[in-house]
Amino acid sequence: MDRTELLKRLRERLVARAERLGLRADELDGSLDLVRTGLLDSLGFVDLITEMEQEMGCEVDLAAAFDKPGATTLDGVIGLFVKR
Amino acid sequence: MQDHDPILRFERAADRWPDRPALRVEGRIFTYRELDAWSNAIAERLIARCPDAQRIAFVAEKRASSYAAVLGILKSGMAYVPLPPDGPQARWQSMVDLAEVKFTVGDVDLPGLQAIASDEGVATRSTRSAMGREAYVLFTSGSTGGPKGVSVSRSNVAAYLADQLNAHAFTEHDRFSQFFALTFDLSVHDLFVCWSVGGCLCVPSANDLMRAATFAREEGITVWFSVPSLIMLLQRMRALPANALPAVRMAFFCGEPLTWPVVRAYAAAAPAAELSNLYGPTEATIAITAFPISRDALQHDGIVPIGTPFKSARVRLVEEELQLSGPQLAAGYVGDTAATDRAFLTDPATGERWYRTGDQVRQDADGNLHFVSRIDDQVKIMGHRVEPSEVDAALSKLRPGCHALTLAKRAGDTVRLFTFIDTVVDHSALMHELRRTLPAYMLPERIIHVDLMPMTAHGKLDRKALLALIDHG
Repeated sequence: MDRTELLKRLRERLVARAERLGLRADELDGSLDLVRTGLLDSLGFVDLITEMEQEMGCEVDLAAAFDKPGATTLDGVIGLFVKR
Repeated sequence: MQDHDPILRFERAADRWPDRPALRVEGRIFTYRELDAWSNAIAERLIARCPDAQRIAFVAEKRASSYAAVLGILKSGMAYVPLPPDGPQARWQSMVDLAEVKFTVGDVDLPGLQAIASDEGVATRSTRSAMGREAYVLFTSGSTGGPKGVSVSRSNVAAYLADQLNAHAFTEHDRFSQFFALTFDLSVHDLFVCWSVGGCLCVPSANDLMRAATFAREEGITVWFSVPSLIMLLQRMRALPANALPAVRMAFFCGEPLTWPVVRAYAAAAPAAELSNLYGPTEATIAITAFPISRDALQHDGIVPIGTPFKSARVRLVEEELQLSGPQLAAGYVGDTAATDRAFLTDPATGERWYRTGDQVRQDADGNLHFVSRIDDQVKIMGHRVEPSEVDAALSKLRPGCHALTLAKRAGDTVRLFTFIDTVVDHSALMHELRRTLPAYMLPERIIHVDLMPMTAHGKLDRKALLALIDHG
């Protein structure tokens, strides 16, 4: 799955909650920090990754993901699943 | 008790170990000499610019300047008022108004405040005697509207430190975790237990919190202190395998109920750690009871006892509600004598002050206290105290005339808030506005419209019927 497709899927998953939080769909860009904006709490963030792992049939190294800045942004999540 | 004044302890450590590391933050190391000199410079500026100020605010980011600010403000004889870095601004405003703050260390983006520079500097110590004065004002969720500011004195902190330093053998070789936000009073333990013994305070970045076990290994943390939620987070991330934390020799948990499965996972990850469950509200300064967890008896279910009171503290159960007394009892809430009078009682016979915790507690045959539940609606969300009615108060300010009721619902190990409202509103727009007045952890998961609030046969709001709507709506 490529970046664009993954971003689309993530947006679909998050858009309802984002709207409930008063965020517009176009604010859901790659740099949006899911935890700092309150879109997800940290446990919710980990749950999102776990659900995506199941969907994609792979496991990511979650602890190592946070070695890089911006781990909790949409781009950060995509980076876990899409190799550059 | 004066012997345990937090600044006195810091300065003694700085005299004894000037070249030892006091602070690791933002990739830098500050020695005791450096941190002492920098905080003296801040104190000097404060005394020069606002000698009569009582309370000084700063944005409590996890940056070196915040730690120098805490020390500098206390050295000047003033009290610190940390503002949550994520805002929102409206909440900062109510905090600053309640605490009557006029001056800040570093810039704070609010009108009418004067900023004193937080820049690094060097100065000698002030001779101001400030023992016994107010140390800080920290805010918790208030049921009647905005946040409530708890005023805690340096004597309160000294009483806490006296107990902790007598109960545990910390040394200057210890490296202390600093996971707690500076707006949370458990951070006071991190800073001042560490600086009382000449240890090094290791401050994680925002990302480090999500990789706390790796951070602790890299930094060589020997004294761990966190909310149980952090352990659960690490477990879910598969980041807490056996022996992941070999250097930790003491681990404290506080802020929310600790469960036995969490303790077992942590005990396996940190095989050398002495484990302790602490309990206490901000109003009784950091923590006031402790339960030392024996490694020989980890096979229990449910939640870990909160143990027995510290030596200087007194506890009593009044109709199952835990009440606290002793030298750690705070003065009350700033600018809110009504709330202070409701929560702090004076015993007419003895003149002793008692704090009503609102926690229902039972005592077992061994004398250990066990948390049972809240007697009101307060919940803990990732260690934060939340009064659901504070959401309702915020909503009624935004939409006068609306009737809103926020309820907490537990799902597995998380608690989420749901707001029921009897008026047709644009939920998205309303949430957008709520985000400007409430912190993220206090935002409801959903706003649910009901035509009429359901009532029980006794004419009370039917909470069960409302909670049932969550799964159907």
